[in-house]
Amino acid sequence: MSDGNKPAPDAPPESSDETEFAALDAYNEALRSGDVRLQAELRRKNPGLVEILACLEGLDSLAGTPTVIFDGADSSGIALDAAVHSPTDFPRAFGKYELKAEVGRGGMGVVYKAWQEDLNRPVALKMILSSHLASHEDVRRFYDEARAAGSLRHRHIVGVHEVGQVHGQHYFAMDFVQGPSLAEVLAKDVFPAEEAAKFMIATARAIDYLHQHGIVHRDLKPGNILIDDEGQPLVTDFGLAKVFNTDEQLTRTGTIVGTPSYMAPEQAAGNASVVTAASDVYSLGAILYEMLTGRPPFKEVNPLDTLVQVLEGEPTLPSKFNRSIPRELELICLRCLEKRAEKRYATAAALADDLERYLRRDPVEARPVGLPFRLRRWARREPALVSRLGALLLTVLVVQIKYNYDGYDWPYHLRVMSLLAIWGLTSFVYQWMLNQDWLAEVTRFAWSATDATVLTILLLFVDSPGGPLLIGYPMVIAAAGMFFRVRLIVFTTLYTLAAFGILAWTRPAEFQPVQYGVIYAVVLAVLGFVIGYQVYRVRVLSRYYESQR
Amino acid sequence: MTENGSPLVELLDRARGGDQAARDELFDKCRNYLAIMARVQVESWLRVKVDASDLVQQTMLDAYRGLSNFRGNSEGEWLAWLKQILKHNATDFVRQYRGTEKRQQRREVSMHATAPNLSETFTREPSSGGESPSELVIQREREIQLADCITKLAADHQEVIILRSLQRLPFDEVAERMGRSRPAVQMLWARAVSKLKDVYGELP
Repeated sequence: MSDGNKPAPDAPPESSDETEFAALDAYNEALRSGDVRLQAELRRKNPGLVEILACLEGLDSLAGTPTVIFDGADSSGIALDAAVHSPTDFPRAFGKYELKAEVGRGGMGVVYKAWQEDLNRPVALKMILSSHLASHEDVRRFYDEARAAGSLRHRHIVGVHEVGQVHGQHYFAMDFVQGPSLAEVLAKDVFPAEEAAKFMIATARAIDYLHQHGIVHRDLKPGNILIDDEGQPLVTDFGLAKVFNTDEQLTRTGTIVGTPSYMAPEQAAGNASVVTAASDVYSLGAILYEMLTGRPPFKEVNPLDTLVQVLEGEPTLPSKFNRSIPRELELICLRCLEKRAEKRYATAAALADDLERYLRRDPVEARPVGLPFRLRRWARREPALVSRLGALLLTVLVVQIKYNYDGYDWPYHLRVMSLLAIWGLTSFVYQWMLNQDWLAEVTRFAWSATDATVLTILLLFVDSPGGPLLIGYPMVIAAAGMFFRVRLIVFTTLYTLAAFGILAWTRPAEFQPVQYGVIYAVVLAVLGFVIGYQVYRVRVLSRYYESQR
Repeated sequence: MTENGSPLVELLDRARGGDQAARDELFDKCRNYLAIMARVQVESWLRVKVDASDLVQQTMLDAYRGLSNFRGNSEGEWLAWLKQILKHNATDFVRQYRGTEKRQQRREVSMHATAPNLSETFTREPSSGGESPSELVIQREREIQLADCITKLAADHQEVIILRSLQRLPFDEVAERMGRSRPAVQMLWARAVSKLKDVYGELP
């Protein structure tokens, strides 16, 4: 005990030891009560104790979760302790139920398969992980969830029978559904178009029923849709359901709740007050999309990228994955996935109606959008290509006007124009390569290198390369920054510098006096550094965000 | 299905593939964890200090023999399985210790009967959403390491950590069991945790 950062036993022993004990004890209590805010506060207040506090966390998890207190008619001294509990102690008694097996864990609860003794039927019991570890807010959310769900009966909704607690352990009992969940089915295969439509009609009707009772599901995803023996959907887990008229209390913290891939943009933006029935319609569309294509509309490796895509990106057209997906179904799907809530179906019922129209081969309500909208969608879907084409088009226009006005010699004009055309064509090829997952990484490098190369060739053609066209190099670096990859930016900067070096060496007369060329090169390097550094910071934030999940 | 290729899972796979060295290493790694768990469990039932090394031995032996019955493939399942066997043996141990055979049978769970059930339980996860498996793995690893570190502490430090942090007894009861005053036990606990931090920090 004389080592480390602790004071020698004799010096000012009692007082500092006591404050340390007080801090440790307080932290221990906070761990046990699951009070995350207090934990964070204590960590902040005692920066010197961070390692010890981490040790306490480890001990707490080693001690295990003190969950169910057993019915202890026979427990003469055998108080079944926290450490005894493991997910495999089955069967065991719990009130009037007998727990058979653990079937799943969600954000705030464990779900058990159980047998209800008095009514002789199987049920699913959902419990808060531990009454000790749950904050009051968790408990309230749990009861809200149960109460909201308890009043509902619908063919395609998992019914809730009872809410209660046994020995301080809160639970509710629901119909037991063997499953599998839609997520498990989708992991194997996609749905044929008509079956997907039928399945989605039933699901949408169930969601509409929820909406009519003032409940927004808020966490619709394939994992929350179970499939019964007849292949029909059963919507479950209203864990985040919010009753319209008692809202606000739970969402004030503004935390994002939900699964990014299936979340509506307004929900992803953390704007809880505007999460409405239309947000569920979006989630339904995202699920339909996955049923047809086998992947959610947006799914990136890290959640931040997924969020950015949900907010700004445009999903790849379902028919790009599978040509056999009918146009009408694709339109219906895309209408659900509109970024702006008012452009989606007004209700889940409207979605179901339109799907029925599709099945009857009637014209569907979802219409293809007009040309301006399609252009905007394209720009969101393939920003790298569209921005390059835009820039090239502008250049072509300027060059052409200048030609008409000045009347250059024809071969020169032809050379410049064909080079620009080739540039445009390579952009299409690269965009196609970028869409192939296995080529994407290489493509980004190749694309940037090609841009710099073509630009250099162009500059070598023209009469005065030292002119305003030199703005092209910084633009190539900035464009590389749009991909958010530090290594790509470093590569592009170096490549651009080399290209500029060759240009300056070939046409030395253009870069007189010498220091102009040097200054230009330095500015390029600085620009690359600044953009690279910004991207690096965004990456760090993104990792931080990910570790917080 | 091996998640994240963690070292313990890798070891587990090799052990099940018949690699004798891996088997020994695996059990070696978990010995201290089991020793601590055994003490926590038995002492919380009997409310006295006991020598649980026989119990640990028996449990290791059972697990060693029954390795082919284990069907899980994550650290969590592995530790849960060990704890289940431990619990099974601990009931016997406590029964013997008390000299009573009257304890009712209902809580006893056959290892063989539960093994398939176990895997079934863990392969299905209908309502799970966004929990990160790597986080769980790190936590399990840390639990095993912490248990290792606890066994390296002085005896009274071990005891106070087991009573206070792992059995979660109130300080008054810890004081009573250890035959010391409450303030003394509190200080002892704070020092023990601090020492544990040092030992844990020295891990490679």
